[in-house]
Amino acid sequence: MPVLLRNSDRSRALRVHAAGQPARFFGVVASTAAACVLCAQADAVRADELEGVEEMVVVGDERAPMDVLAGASTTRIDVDQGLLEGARLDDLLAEVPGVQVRRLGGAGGSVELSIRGSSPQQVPVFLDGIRIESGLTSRGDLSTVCLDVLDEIQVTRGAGAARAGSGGIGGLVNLVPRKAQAEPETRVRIGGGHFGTVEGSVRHARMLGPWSVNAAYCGLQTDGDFKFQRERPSSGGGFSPIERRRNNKADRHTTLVRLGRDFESARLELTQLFTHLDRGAPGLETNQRRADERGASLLSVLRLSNPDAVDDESAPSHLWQWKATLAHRFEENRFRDPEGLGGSLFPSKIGTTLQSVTPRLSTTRIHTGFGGEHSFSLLVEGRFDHRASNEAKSKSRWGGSARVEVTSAWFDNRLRISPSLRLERFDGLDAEWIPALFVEMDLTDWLRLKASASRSYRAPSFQELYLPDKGFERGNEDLRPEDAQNVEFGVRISSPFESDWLDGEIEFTYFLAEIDRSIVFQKVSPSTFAFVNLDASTNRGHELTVTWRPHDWIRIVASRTVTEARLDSNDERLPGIAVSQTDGRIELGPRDRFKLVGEVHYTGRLPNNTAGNDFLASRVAYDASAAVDLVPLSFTPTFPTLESLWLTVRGRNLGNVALRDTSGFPRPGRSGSITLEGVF
Amino acid sequence: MPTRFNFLVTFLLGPALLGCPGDASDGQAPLRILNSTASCLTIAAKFPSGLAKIPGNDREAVAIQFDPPALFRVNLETEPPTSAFVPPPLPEVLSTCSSGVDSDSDGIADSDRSVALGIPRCRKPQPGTVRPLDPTRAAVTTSDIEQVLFLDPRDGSLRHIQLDAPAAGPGFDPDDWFFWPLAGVTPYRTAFSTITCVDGPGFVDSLGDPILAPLRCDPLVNGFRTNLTADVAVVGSRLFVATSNLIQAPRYAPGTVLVFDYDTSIDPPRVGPHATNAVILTSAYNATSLTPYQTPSGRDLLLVGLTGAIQGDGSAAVTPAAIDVVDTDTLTLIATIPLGLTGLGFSGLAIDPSNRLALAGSALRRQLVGIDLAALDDPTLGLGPQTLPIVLDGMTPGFPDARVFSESNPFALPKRPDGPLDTVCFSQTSVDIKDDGSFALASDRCDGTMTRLFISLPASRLTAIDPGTVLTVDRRIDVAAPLLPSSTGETRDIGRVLIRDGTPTVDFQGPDVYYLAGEEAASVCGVRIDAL
Repeated sequence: MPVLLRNSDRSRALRVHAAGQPARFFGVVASTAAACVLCAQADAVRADELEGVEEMVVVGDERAPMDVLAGASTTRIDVDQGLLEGARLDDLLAEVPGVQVRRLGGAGGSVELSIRGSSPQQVPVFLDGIRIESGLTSRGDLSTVCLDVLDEIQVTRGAGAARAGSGGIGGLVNLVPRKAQAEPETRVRIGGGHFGTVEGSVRHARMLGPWSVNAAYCGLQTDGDFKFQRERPSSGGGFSPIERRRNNKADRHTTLVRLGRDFESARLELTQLFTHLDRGAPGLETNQRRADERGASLLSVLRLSNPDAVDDESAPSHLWQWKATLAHRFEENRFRDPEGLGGSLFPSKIGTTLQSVTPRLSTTRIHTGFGGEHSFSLLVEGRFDHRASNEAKSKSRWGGSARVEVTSAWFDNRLRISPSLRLERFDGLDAEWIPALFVEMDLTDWLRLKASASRSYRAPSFQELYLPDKGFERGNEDLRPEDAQNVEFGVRISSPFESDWLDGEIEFTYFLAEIDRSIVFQKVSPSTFAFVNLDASTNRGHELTVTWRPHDWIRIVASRTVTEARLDSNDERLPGIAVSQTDGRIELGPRDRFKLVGEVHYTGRLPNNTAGNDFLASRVAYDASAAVDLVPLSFTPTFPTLESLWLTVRGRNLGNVALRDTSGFPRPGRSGSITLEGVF
Repeated sequence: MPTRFNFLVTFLLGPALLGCPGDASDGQAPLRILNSTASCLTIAAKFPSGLAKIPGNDREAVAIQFDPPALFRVNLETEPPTSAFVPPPLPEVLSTCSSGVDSDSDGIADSDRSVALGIPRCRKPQPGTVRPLDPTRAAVTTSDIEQVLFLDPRDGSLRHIQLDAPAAGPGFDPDDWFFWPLAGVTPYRTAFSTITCVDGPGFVDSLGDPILAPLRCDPLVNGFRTNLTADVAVVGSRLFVATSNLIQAPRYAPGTVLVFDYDTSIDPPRVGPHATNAVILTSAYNATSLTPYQTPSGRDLLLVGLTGAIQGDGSAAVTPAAIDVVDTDTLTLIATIPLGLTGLGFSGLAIDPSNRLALAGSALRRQLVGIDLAALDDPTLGLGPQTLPIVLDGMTPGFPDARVFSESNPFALPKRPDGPLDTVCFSQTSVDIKDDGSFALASDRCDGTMTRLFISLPASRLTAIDPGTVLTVDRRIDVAAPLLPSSTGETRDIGRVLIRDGTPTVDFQGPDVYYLAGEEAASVCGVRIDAL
């Protein structure tokens, strides 16, 4: 689907004037606040009552190179378009075929990702190629990152361990941060929504002499409490009154700073991402608690590279690239429950810090010969993790990996084959060999075939290994890594017709993964849960995406994912994986002026256990958004540097139905948000 | 257009477009669909807390769903068992907490009332044992909200009783029973509180430390507030309640048996704490079960199962277990049978039809304990000059040893070869005895097995029971899966066992044995042991 970025003129100097504009901004925010107050009063009155691979063609600015293999099922998501729709990171990811998002609350609630039936721990999350999922839990909580600091999201479905190492069994997510543009630019966004939600961001990018500077801040604050209908078991004994989800507040801050400088034959980049999150942890709806969690993380990445091809004078047909990276991540988590855990009479306070250091060196040599173009790359990486906690002894773990990868293209780039081999070893675990083969072929201009086969694995996390023995729960130092074999086949048919009314694509992918020794948290004794390795399971299914663009103003996408994730021993479905998902989306309007979007999301039954006798019923939810640039409409006074001023209104769950992505964690009913974004 | 007008439009646009947030109530309520399996009735939550026969009804039993709390009347003739009705929910009212359950029907949410009376944090009733008292009324113990709840086995609805507390006197202080109305006020309720303050000099907990006075109790003396309501039993016109009094495992306050007058001559029955002897302290910690027992001479006794203080993970006992004997007429603890660090099981005693042998499971090991009830035959037991309670361990002159299986010689059940290691899974066992006394059946929670045991008792009550021959293993039956990762998806984590009365296929159809299971889903399961 072509994504047309706004052809904004970014040649002006940047200043935000104090007069005029803030009044309009505050007017919108104030009106939103008024809406919330009115609704709160209404609540008070009621208190007397009960209770294909999608590849996007980008026009305009330079986009981040996609660091994935040809033939991999990767979707690139344009963040700016998502922001125009008032979407959050989880909204955008939920539309990707094969991806299932588990939201455990409202605006600031925890968000987990499952790809093709995987567990959240089997989907590592990267920021510009560096892992940012929790080193403690191996789980990436996407609620800690806001869209404003990102340029693009790349979602690879299927085995990513060959590229990413440990964890990439279901796939991987690469968050590409914003970079400085040639022309300076400032964006200010402010918005509000139901449940006392206020969010905003400021982004600025420019060149300061030889340095490119990109800085962004985004923040969100929400009271979070919402009304919901309680889950009712079919066996009886329950009914579904309207209750209030309490202790759901969240306060999140994210900053990103990127500095870059080009030297004669190299480029130096420093990236720092800081996140801070403070939120309530109400727990299960049947036993809401007053616990809260606080987390902060700082990722620092120093990178030296020669991204532009450098001619090797001794062999003019050869091109050579290299990249050296040093990354450090600090993560701190605090969990507090005044009511105690596991029957304790005393408040629980758990504090954990994690430090990770990752040095990486990679080199790529491009060679033309044998009738095609060949890229040979070698990567060497080390990793050191150290965890400290107030309830357990400190633990450290070393790891290292090496990867060899070849990507060859023949017949005018119509055939691309990419074999790779990765060797990885962590302290205390055996060495893991991870082979992979990706093939992609354009039979015609409109017909593309792809296939891949690879192995993947995941080393147990610190929490799984070393969770202190509290009697009712404990870790397991005897855990073995998860192991998987993945294959997929896909076809993409683009419209061969010239007529705009027949412009579109159909993409179909079949996937199969055999996963052994999945790590789950399970009862091992009448009073105790622990992490254990399961027997083999099989995830198979298909993704079908149909895209139709009959007109520049009309874009329609429909996708359906069917996932059969079953335990081999009894052929029953794995818990938490929806039987099927169908998403439909219609977008109207010229993207540079206004945009109307309507979405429908169908989620099939959600099994709650592996016995096949307990599941959540299917449901359908509707979202919609409307965005308009006020500048061309003369709704704003003349302001020399104001290039665009987008007003966006978004509604979620317009049908006001009861939603749950997992049993025991309700999501809000109908809700909305309104944002205003100015680009200078 | 004037900028001012544009601004006004923008100002009004926000609330007009957003409206008010929804409460997720349109469309169907979120339904959690629970399907039965080939042999099990699936109910909600993780482990059903109670299963009991209905007196005089061979074809049905009652089972308790833990969350949301509900009583099921289970048809035992079908395979899988089926529920006679979809139980109604407990009523709810407005509450400052997320759960506004009003289980005692006083018009105030249980949690709000609890907080108002000085017991902090949001709570809701967590059901435990069920005891059918008559065809229209079953008593269910609940903890967190400490009470005995009354439900109707015919349709699962709440049943009323009338509260009637005695006046203040030497044996009864209304301040200790602060959930109860004052004397003379006799409201109708569907539950009564089992919270009371118990104080006295020299109380220590199971770790030997003095017990600090809890909220609402006298701060000047050693004392504790009863909690973890474990079992309920009716003997004559008295209703007894066992409370475990857990502080935080393995720290327990002394166990108690609360005594209530229970007058069933009127409808609804009237209940009130006994005026002079409402609290009986047990000889060991952690009172978990009550078993009424009538001696051959017609004396009504109450056998109190005391598990002893145990570790939270069930790995070991910290203090000894015992079976206390209460005279229900004099309301005194007359004898105790020490069992050592066996961790007496939670499911109560199974008594053979000749009233000779009482067996119990274990909360810690794959074993059974047992006592000889002939030791209680003496109608004057506990009525003489001896210091009470009389210890029936063979060391008290003039009194027999009531122990058959105890710490020094437990009855070990056979282990499943492919079951989990004993060092990983600390098993719990439960036992029941066939109504004709021909065999006993013991369940093992970790292994998912039942062991069928032949019973061979001496003909005369005067002949001592031989521990070596009274029980012999007939066979081990693998009724469910062991608690292992490889069993994921299968029924396992089995608990209380119940043997149907009568002869299979002659007196009843369907399975002859039932049990509770906690994984993968809470279930009431039937299995054919002798039934073809």
